[in-house]
Amino acid sequence: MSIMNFLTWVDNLPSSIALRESTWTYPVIESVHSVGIALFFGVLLFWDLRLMGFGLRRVPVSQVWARLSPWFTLGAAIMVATGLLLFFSKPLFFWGNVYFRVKLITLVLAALNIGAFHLGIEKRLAQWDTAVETPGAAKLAGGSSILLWGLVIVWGRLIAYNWYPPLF
Amino acid sequence: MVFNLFTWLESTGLSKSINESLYAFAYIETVHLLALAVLGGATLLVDLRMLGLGLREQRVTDLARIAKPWLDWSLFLVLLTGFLLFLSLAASKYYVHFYFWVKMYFLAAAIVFTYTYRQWVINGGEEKANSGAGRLAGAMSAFLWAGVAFAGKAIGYIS
Repeated sequence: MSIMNFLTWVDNLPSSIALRESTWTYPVIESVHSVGIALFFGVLLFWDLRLMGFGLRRVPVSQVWARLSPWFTLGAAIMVATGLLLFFSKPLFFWGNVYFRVKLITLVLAALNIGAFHLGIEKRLAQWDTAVETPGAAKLAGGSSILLWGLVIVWGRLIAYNWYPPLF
Repeated sequence: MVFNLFTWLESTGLSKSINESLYAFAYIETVHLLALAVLGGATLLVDLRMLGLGLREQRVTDLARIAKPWLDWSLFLVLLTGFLLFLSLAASKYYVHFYFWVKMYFLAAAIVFTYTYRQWVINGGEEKANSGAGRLAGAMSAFLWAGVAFAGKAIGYIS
């Protein structure tokens, strides 16, 4: 089954139709999705800034991680859950939207950045946990995170604008 | 009176150029959203701490000092971009929109609360910030800013 067949099948599910035609449910899900941005990106920002040697620079990196990661992870979980519901309600619309495709690619890059950090410079965290001047690799990971997640927000916002015809 | 002011604002050249551009509203809205996210983080960093959550080994005053420039600048950017969005459809969309007014009341309350009571608690030092006054400041701040965001999102939907 091709991806188009699958998405068309999802698009025709009674639950998908009910969701996109709902008066309140869809707007509420989208509201939670966008307000979740503040919890996710806003809190993550202070973690990324610490990696770059700014903001909470006098606080050990491990402590910033221990105290802030539960909050931005909660934000991420809210974003993923509501994001999947939004996609489920209009799969063909999203799949045909150029900004949605670019957002997916940016999400993959953001995930790779997370993986590179945890498998790379974080392994030697004991050596720079309390350093104000963080290693170059940590600065790069923090800066890339701010940039990539910022772009994810930008592309997500622009999905709402129909400037281009569907991609299929 | 207010309606006349809004009508005049919507008739200005800046308002017209935002309306005539295919992209201006969307780009301003995007910056508004990014700034909103930073504002949320800058306020939550301290609000969570006053609620006994988040960076609880740290002093409230230290966190507030670090968050302050982010809070002030993101709020400035949110207000600037928000004003431009408002300007484009001041009378025809926003004046008549129930949730626009809900948002404005929440916004006024959030700003006043942040720069009066919440700041007073922070200025009062650790003892005050870790008392019931601090918990009230943190909870009210998070509630009021969330109200601004949800009411703002509702403007895009319900008419």
